[in-house]
Amino acid sequence: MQIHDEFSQNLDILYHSNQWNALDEALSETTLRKAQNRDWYAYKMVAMSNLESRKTSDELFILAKEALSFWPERFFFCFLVDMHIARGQYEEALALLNSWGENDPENPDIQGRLFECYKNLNDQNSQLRALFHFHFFTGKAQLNGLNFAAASESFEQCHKMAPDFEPATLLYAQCLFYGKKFSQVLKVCQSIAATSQIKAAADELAMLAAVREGNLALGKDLAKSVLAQDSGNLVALRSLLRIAEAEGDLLNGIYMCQKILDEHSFDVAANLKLIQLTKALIEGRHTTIAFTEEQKVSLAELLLRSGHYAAGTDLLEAITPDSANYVGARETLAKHHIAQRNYEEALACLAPTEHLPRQWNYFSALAAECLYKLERYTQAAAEARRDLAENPHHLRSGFLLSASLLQNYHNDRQPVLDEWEEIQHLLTDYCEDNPDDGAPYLHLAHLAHILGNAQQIHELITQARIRGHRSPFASLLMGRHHLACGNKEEALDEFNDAVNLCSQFPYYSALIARAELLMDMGKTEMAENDLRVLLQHWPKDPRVITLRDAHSMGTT
Amino acid sequence: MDDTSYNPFQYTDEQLWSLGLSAISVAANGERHDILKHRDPEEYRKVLASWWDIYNADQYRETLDWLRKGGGREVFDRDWGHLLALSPEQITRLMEHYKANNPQQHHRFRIIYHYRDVIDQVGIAAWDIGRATFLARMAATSGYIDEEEAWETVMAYGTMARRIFSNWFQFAHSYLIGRQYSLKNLNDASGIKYLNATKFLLTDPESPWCRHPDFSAFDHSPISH
Repeated sequence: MQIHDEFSQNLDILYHSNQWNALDEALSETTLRKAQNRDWYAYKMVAMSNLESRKTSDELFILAKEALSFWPERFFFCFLVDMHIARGQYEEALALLNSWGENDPENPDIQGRLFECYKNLNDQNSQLRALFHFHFFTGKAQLNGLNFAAASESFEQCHKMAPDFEPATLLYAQCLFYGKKFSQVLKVCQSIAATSQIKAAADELAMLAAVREGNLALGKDLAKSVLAQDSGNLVALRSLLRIAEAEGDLLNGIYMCQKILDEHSFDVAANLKLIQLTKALIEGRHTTIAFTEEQKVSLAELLLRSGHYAAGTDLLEAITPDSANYVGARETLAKHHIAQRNYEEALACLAPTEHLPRQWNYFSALAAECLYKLERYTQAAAEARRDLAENPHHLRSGFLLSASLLQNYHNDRQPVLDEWEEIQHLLTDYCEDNPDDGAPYLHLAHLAHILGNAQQIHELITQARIRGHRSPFASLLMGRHHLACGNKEEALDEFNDAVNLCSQFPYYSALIARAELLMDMGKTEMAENDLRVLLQHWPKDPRVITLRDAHSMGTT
Repeated sequence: MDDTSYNPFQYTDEQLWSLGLSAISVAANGERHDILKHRDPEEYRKVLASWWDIYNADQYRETLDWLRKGGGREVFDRDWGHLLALSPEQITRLMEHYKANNPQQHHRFRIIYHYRDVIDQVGIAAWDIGRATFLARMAATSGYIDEEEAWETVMAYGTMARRIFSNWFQFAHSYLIGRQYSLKNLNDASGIKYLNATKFLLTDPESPWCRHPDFSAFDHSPISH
């Protein structure tokens, strides 16, 4: 083994130092055939091909054939073809090339050798075709390796030979683009017919070249034309963004970023550009545009949507009460606070003032939203009613009114009992308009409970749960429903859910229901835990006392 | 962090600048930017093992060598070159084929196609640079290599990065596209976390990128491309 390794190392040295004679002599054909080593065959053949007396010899030709039969790979294939060509055997070379070409049709090595053969056979047409293919596939191979300059040269040859072959023309324009030869890109793209299938791609490229070259008017025209064909074309949107930036129109630039992000929120380019433009704006590096107050409100909306809260808020706060845009600014600010769950701040924005009278009912809708979230249900209902008086089709206000009245039922039953039909109607309408929202189903279930329609509760709560909505009260109602049907285990599961969903504070109705059920099921030890909590929080409650007495009787 | 506690080990500006190369990962992981090593060696041994299959110094060096020689950018450049050489019709066909047969490759081509007008010859170099320097810091934290070896790597990549990029925006661009290309998470929590970390680095005056924004400092030798 060691001898073999040393011999092999010696061959490597001879090969890499181009000692062809010594290599030829060191590797006899007998040794070669005995060892059947792929690399040794290659060494021997290369060595012989570099020796004038051996390069077209029959010995080498036989070795090349043998090698290809053992190892049907590109190196041996090309070697044998080259030997055929060197020996003037063009037809044989062609036959071999055509058979190999079926496996590897885009191989420029094959096309180059085909050209060589046809040239020697004086076949003009085939020669030109092979030459074209050679350039085309060489270009593609160079492009695969991101060698734009070399690829550009190959595709330029294609373009000269066959200007109508548009795939090559487009690739040529693309290489020119990466070589920063923008005016040439425009010229080449113009040569692509308006009816071509690759026209859209050519327009994209021309648009990019125009913008990079600084021809913003042309870039804008091309972008509009691309967007007319494909309104979501990202390259066109980004081009308009670059144009806006180049023109110093930061507002439009930010708008374009937002437009891209609306569809592709992950887009790195738009996200980073938005930061860059916003930074420039905040640092006062915008020079060419003067903002109107209306634009300030629009810009603030964009800033708030993209997470630049301080900058957006500052812009809105700067709009004074005497401005015609004051109402819009307060509304935008209130919406932002609502989105941030800062309901008190939102209410402060909506509070009536000398400049902001409470005639504008849309503010009532927003106020109702805040008050509902702050659990100030009486006020929420009043604001929602105010909005509905002006906008009876405002379904959200209908929902807020109904939900507020139901949430406030334990304090004030009368409105629900008086208006239950209206509440049911409003909630049902809201369900239809918001098919994915489970909340109205829960309120309908509550209403059904109040009205004693026990049979509806199960279905309504199931609908809410399908929509991902769970609540302790819904679980309690479901538990009671199961209990009424005699399904104690299911009832216990639901009571457990109700207690667990309300883990931050003890939920009296669920705890007492569960403890009573556990006692009923004979699980007194488990009931004891609930009883302890109940006694701690409601020691004088008659139901708790009854339960305590029953428990002490059960355990003694 | 107030200014009195910044840079406790009195690193040079160039060192602090170079630590910025791994700042996206460092910010996403809630570590300090002004100290080479992170807090919890055990935690970073776990990260190196689970994410990189690295359990010792040799494996770390092998991985670093892979990143230096080709890393993720080699695969990216190959895919980009492949896509560039196709006609629009061939691209559509290829995407459909991968969508049905190879979701990972479909994702990769989708990302390249999405950024087709944005990608340039720099490609995703920052993704490899960021990972290599973060690896060096994690390996030092884990005790697999000493600080000197980690600094050598970080500073060498610093020189390289300043030759390739002109500012942190450009760097972030290349890094995040590389991350999206390699890891898929675009809109999920992890993708958003890294995007937010980058926003912080680009905008917060106390971030290492805002403290050390200059790409033309430190290197006085002529740059060869």
